[in-house]
Amino acid sequence: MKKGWTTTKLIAAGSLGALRLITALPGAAIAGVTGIPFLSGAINFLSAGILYSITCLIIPKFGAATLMASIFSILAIPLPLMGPPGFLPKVILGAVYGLLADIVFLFLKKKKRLASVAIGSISSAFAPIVSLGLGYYLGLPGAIDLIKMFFKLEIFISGAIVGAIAGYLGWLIYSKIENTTIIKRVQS
Amino acid sequence: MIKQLYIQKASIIHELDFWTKFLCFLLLLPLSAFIAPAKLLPLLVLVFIILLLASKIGLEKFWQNTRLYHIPITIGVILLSLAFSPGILQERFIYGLILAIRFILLISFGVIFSMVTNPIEIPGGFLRARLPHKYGITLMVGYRMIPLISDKISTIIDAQKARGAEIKLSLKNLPKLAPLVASLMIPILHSTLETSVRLSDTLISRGYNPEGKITVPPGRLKKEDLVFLFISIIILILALIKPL
Repeated sequence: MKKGWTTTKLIAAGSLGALRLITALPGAAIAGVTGIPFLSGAINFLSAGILYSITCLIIPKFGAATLMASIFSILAIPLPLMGPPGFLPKVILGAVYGLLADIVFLFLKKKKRLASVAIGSISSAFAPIVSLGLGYYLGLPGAIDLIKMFFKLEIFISGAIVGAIAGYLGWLIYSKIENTTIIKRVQS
Repeated sequence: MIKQLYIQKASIIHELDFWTKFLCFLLLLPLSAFIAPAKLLPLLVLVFIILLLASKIGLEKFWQNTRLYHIPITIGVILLSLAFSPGILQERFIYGLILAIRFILLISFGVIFSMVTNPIEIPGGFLRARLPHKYGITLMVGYRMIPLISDKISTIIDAQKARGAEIKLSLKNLPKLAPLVASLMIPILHSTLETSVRLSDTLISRGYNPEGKITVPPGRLKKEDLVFLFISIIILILALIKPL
């Protein structure tokens, strides 16, 4: 296995970013119709959890999920995904979510199933906190109170459980295609 | 589908360089709207209206695309301010209103960027910014992959339906959601990766090396770009000056 970023790995990360965008578009359409900020993220938690864990499993290199999520968030600039169209902080948010997945995978690299579940659950549990942290940074009144509210254990745990299901689903999908030539080719 | 906000027009704003639009609409002007003293906000609103008129998009078209953001955000921010900000009721309301205007300007500049920028300009712009080209190329491939993956997804859904799969999202089908997602995601993922490997083979066969040098598409700032950037920087400086 080559150590650096090969063309195949880069293109695969870009393609997974594009796939993440396409799977998020139905949520974006609902967010566009209702106009509720960050609603698309809440709707797309399943595809997000699956794709973050799958990216780390398919391209087991630190930075793979960050690259995939950054590509996704840049592609999402003109769309009502992760905030309104043209909302530049969405790129930072995307990169942070990806980095979170990469860090989790770095520590649990050898236990793929656990890593997958942890990536899904941590990214889902922290997503509202990161979004509200951005709200606090932008001076949104009551952001701190809302963060305190979200830090309630029950909400945190339910987010983590839902994310863990998505992460586990990601692992199941990966285990089905793990031994195909395409995966071996991307990983080589 | 990704072009849903872009409106093609022959206007001075549409013809600006990608980086001028990126810096002004997504960075300098929204930042000014956020840090400017309240007295400067009418000037920023005026700048925005002038930009909108110059882009030939039209107020009605813009309102149609943004009202679903502006109305809930205005109500939401004012309500949050009334609930959480310090001071008497009137002060809290005014603070909420000013913050709502700031958010509206932030969103409006972003939406106008999306309306005047063809999405395909974005990867080209990133390549010209002297960022490592491997990321620019990856982004470009991401754009290229969107229609290809969309087509493949439609084909896969049709194929699964032909095999008798019931692809409907409803509360009744909720327990079947996980197997349904897996039955769709496995072929979609495989097909996406297959296309990406084919695309990377094409790039490799043409001599592309992620660590090597490539020819960057040409692009120079025109006089209009410089004027536009200069005005935006002046507005940002005005916003930074605190009133005595």
